[in-house]
Amino acid sequence: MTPAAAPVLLRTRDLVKDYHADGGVVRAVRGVNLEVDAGEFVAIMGPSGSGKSTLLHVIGGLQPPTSGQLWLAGQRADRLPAAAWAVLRRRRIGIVFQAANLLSSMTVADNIELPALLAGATARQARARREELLDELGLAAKARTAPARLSGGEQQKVGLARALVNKPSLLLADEPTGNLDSTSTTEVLKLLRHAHADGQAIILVTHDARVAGHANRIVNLFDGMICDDAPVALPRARRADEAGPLTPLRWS
Amino acid sequence: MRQHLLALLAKEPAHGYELKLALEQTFGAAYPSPNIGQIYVTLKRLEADGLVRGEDVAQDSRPNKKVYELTPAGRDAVAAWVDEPAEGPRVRDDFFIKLVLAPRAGLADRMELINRQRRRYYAQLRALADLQDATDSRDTSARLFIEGQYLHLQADLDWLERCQEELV
Repeated sequence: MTPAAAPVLLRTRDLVKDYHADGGVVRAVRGVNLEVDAGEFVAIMGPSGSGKSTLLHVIGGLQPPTSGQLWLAGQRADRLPAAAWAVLRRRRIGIVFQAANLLSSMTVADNIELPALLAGATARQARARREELLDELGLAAKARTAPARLSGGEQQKVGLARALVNKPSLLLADEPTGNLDSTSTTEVLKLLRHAHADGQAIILVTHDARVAGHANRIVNLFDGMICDDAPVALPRARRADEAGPLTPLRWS
Repeated sequence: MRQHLLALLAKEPAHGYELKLALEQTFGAAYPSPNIGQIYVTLKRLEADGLVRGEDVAQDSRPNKKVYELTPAGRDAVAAWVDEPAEGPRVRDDFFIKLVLAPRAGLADRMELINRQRRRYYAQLRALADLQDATDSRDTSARLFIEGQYLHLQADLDWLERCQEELV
């Protein structure tokens, strides 16, 4: 568990998001109360259509909530104008969604450095940070490549690097390992864990058990509501005769 | 463990402690480390069943050690084990029986059962993540073993989600 002293980074109260589609109303998020402290690593899980991605979009300010309240770092955020959100996202929140949305006219390197430059980093600082991130993701050789020439998985990793370039206090990620093979998943996990170890909070939506295993808290959504929210604890010490995660090789 | 020891002895004769080391070195931290006593007891039983033969070997300044080798019957037993496909990990799932029967009798709420089970899987995931951290990624057997465990847990979690969607 996070120490009690950790400040609350994100708080939602009765957060609701409706979509209007085909003359009907889809209630994607139906009253979510969530508090995330600085430095937490939270995985949001749940079936398709349970509202995970919508919740992440609303938390990241990409869609306004239908009702309810949202605070980020003590600041009321659910009624912020788009320009204020843009500043918030540049300074405090890194976002990476399933579609990386890289700028096609720029190289991989420029895509990653741009948010750093916009936030006031010098060219040298931006370059150093970009090199560090691409190294960790095994993409150093692709710095001068155009995004269109990357695989889907590589684009996703570049999107993650871009989201982390300003060391945001909160990273929001939607299925960050969704299109990745095992090796890339390992690289992405390593990067996420470094960010977490540096004190950055992470909220990510995932179906991937490997990713969830590294979270220190898992929130389950069902029909737009939280149905379970619990810290991930180590299993109690196993007795020799008891099945643990290693069931198939249990001694008889 | 019987078959595992037989399979190691099929490669070359060994004494008990060598077998323990061979298991640990091959599978790394991913393998629940066998107790040396369990290994000796198992070897004695295998010998009584005629599957291995032990021979005392004199050692300088130490008690004799017993080196085991497979008998022809032991070789047949290990071949039969190798040829037999293994059962999947869940032939009969105790949790599922609980999930279906307990709410019918008013003993539990399905959502609670699912959440509790899911938390158990999460805890196992965490243990596996720690195990992975403690394992050298160049150690192929250990790495594949861990990956298999992840895939099993992934399937368990996906399946819980299916149960939740259909039953809750």
